[in-house]
Amino acid sequence: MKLLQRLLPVFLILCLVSTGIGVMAQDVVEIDFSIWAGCESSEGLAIQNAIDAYEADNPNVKVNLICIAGDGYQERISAMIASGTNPDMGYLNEAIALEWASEGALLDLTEYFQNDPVASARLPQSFYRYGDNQILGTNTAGEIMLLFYNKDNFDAAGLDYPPTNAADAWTWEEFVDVCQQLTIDRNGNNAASAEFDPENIDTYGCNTGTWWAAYHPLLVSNGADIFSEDGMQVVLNSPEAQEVFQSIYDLMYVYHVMPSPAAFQARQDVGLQTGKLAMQIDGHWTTSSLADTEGLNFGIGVLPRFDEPVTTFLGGVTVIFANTEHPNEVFEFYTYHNDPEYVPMYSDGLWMPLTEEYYTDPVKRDEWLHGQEGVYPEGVEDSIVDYTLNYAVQAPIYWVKNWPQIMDEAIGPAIEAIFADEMSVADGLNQAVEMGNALTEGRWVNP
Amino acid sequence: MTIQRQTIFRTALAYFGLIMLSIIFLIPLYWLVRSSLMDDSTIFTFPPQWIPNPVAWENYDFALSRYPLFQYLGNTLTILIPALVGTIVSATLVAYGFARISWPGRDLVFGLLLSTLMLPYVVTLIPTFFMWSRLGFVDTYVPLIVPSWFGGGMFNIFLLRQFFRTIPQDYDEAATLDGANHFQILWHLIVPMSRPAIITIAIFSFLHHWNDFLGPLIYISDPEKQTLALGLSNFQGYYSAEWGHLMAASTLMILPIIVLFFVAQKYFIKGIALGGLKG
Amino acid sequence: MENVASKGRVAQEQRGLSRKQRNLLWGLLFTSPAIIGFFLWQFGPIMAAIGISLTEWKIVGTPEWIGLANYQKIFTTDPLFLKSVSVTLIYTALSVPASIAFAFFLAVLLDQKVRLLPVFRTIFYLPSIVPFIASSYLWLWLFNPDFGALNAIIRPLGLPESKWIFASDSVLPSLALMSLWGVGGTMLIFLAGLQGVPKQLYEAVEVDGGNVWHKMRHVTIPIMTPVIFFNFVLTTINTLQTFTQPFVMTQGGPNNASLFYVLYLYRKAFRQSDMGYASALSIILLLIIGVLTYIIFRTSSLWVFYEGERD
Repeated sequence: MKLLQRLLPVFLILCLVSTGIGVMAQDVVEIDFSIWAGCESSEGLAIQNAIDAYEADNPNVKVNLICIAGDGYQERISAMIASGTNPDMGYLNEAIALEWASEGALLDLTEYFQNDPVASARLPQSFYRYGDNQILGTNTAGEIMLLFYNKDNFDAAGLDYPPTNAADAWTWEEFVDVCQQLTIDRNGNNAASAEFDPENIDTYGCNTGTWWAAYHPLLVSNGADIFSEDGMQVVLNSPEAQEVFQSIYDLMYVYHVMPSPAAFQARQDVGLQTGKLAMQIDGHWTTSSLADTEGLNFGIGVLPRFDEPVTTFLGGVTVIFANTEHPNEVFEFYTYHNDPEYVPMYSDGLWMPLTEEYYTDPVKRDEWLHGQEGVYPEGVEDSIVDYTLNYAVQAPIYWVKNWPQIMDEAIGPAIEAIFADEMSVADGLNQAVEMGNALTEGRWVNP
Repeated sequence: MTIQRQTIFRTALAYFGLIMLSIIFLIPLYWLVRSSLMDDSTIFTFPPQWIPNPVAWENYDFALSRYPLFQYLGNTLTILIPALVGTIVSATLVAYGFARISWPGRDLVFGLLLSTLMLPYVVTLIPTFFMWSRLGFVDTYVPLIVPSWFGGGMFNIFLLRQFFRTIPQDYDEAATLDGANHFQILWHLIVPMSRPAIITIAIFSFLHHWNDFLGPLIYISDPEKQTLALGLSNFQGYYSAEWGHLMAASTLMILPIIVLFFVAQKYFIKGIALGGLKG
Repeated sequence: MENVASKGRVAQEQRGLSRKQRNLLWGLLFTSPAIIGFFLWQFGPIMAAIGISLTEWKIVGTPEWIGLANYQKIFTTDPLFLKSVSVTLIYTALSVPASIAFAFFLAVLLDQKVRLLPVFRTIFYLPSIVPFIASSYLWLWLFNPDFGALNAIIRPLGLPESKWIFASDSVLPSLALMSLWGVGGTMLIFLAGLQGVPKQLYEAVEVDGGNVWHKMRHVTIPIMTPVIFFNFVLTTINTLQTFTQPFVMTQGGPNNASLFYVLYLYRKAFRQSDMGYASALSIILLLIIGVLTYIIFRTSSLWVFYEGERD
């Protein structure tokens, strides 16, 4: 029904055009669509299946899937767009998309969304906006940061599972306490005991991760942030921000309950899958690979809070390039390519739907969360659905200009130095602020 | 007696050194093979499992069934064979021109051409692609083959030039007196005496085209035209890589190179015999 | 010999055409594929890179002419330009001599008359064949300060442990150590060069009562100088453009301690989409490498001996 509804305007236009010109023959519209995944990867195969179904319903459209996996995606797309041979539509790095949209290289989708009641009902956090509040697109799929845990570790220690309802989120102290009880050395002592041997840790209690998406929700929870509201200041040296970084630092070097970056990078087994890690802060997409691991008994809770419970909403964007010859047909396909009715990545636990319906309508919600047995653990109605609707803030990457340079050159190295124990928290954050402030350029949307 | 004992001692030392180093140098291959026989959850366990348990042969089943090996092999060879021939022929000619003929401006031209090795691909990629796309050769093998016929890259030219220059000039002079032209000198004199060097550039360009990922990635869109190296990336998703499958396919891909290298380096021995003619 | 050669020269000159002119024609004829190829495929992109370096260009849209502003910014306000230059030069100084010496040592070892030589040669070349992405995890583990194999070997010897690639002061030496493992290509070129060393010269040294060291010092090394020169130039050029190892293993860290020049340049081009700036950086790189190469070439006459050109 919905598909028909959407196709109606296209048919009408086509009829008008064909009667106007007096030609009844329908030309097949070809859409080139590039994705950042191999054609043989599970994602690539699923998208190809969705395309096949779409083509069956829309005989006037042919979609050519261009799979570009690995590190060469940006090179390839750049070379294509510079020579005018780019696809009609494709995945794109968020920061590059905003840059290119403001240069006029991406199709302004503001009106297309306005004229499509279904598409415009997507989660408000998922819209990428620039210029005069124009829309360049939405996330390919929704993602938020969550607390994943291995139930076996909790059962062995006789501890309650992490809360799934944001209203009950652990305070940081409660979180550290649980981390200590779950960290076990080779003699079987946990990190709370006096005999604990931090040199010989067998199982770590937690890993928050050290990248921006891991610390951003914690900052916001403590009333801090990476950038000031106007995007002109890096504000990481606030006392609240310092407290957050000091707390993560302490997990590694004071409590010894979290692997240091060095230990973590080389011990990729320090993942929930192997039982050597009890809790991990990571993006929602992790659900898919955890669910694929046989014998793993995992759960999903909400992040610990400093003050307010908060998570961060993030994810790559799908865009339509401005030079497409068939903007209407491409937008039609744009709204289809991540529609949970046609692509299985949602019930697989890789993607979160963008349409609010899937969070509010119990039938749709069940299709997503329980469409496949054994993917999502219990409690996700709270820890994912309620959390996304009521506690998820946009990552700064949606709105701050010059993000890649600021992160790569100012903030990233400083945070890295803090967590590698080469710089004090205060010095590192001051360095980040000092270098970052020289690079800030404000927000993408004009004030 | 002492000399004999010394020789035995030296041989033993050489073997000891060779075997110890071999172990160190074998680790990456062993690592690759062992990873190809493990499932994704055990590849990264710590401390590393050196012996796969259980042995996951299914990675190979998977790689062989989902990875159109022979089609990709055919495509790779379609690029590789003409490119390899082009490189050997044209690099030999050009290197001769730089090494054995003394002409005004030679070193300047050589230096200018050498500068092509000094600019990172990052900035030449887009203009080069732009040019091929205007010529209409994107999604064909032309951009991957044709440049090989124009010198085969300064690396190869420079390498051959160095070897050609070590051959005594007297031979050329004598041959010239006998009425030989430059092509004859190159073919009958220089090439036979430089066989190890020519085999070396052949091995390098074979490896280059066999492993080339970025070239096909940039120029080839059609899944039917993918190469072995590009095909490996088919296993990578945006959020995940299927490591076991990737390692199995990688292992299959490097086996022919190992065999080829093993065979090719034997011709170095022939080089010795010819080199003995010198002086 | 000298006699024959000079006779040849006379004979050539007698044929009417000036020897110089004929050599120019032959020289251009033989090198024409490379010269034509240069103008077809290299000249355009190099000129384009120079042109783009004078603009602000985000890969999309029209490049905006800004003159030398990119260069000015690089030399005056960019804190990471000097950082990345020094990282790259320090690494080059560490890695190039070590890897050339090691490759030479391996090649000499593999030029002995021992059994199973083809097997050993193949084994030593293996790390150059195995894709780095497959072996990078192995190295991450070897380098791990707490659980890695390197510290496990060092600890019982009583030597100070290192944090390897995870500390800013040890990351470059660690990467240089790792580069020794990938010297297979350089080794192969040396091996090819060793095949050209006339065995009679060794016998001559033996007759004079010389030992292994004398053979090396007076025969092998002098005859190999053109090959050593080649490896020196090419390894330097390639090392100055190191990209994959930091890209895969350290992402430039910790705290920019392994921010190699080309990694920095790559980020500008493809993460920040700032192609004008990246082009300016690469022109500067071209000049740096060009100057260094020129110096190596100019000093080569002091130590490189072409057997074929002893005049």
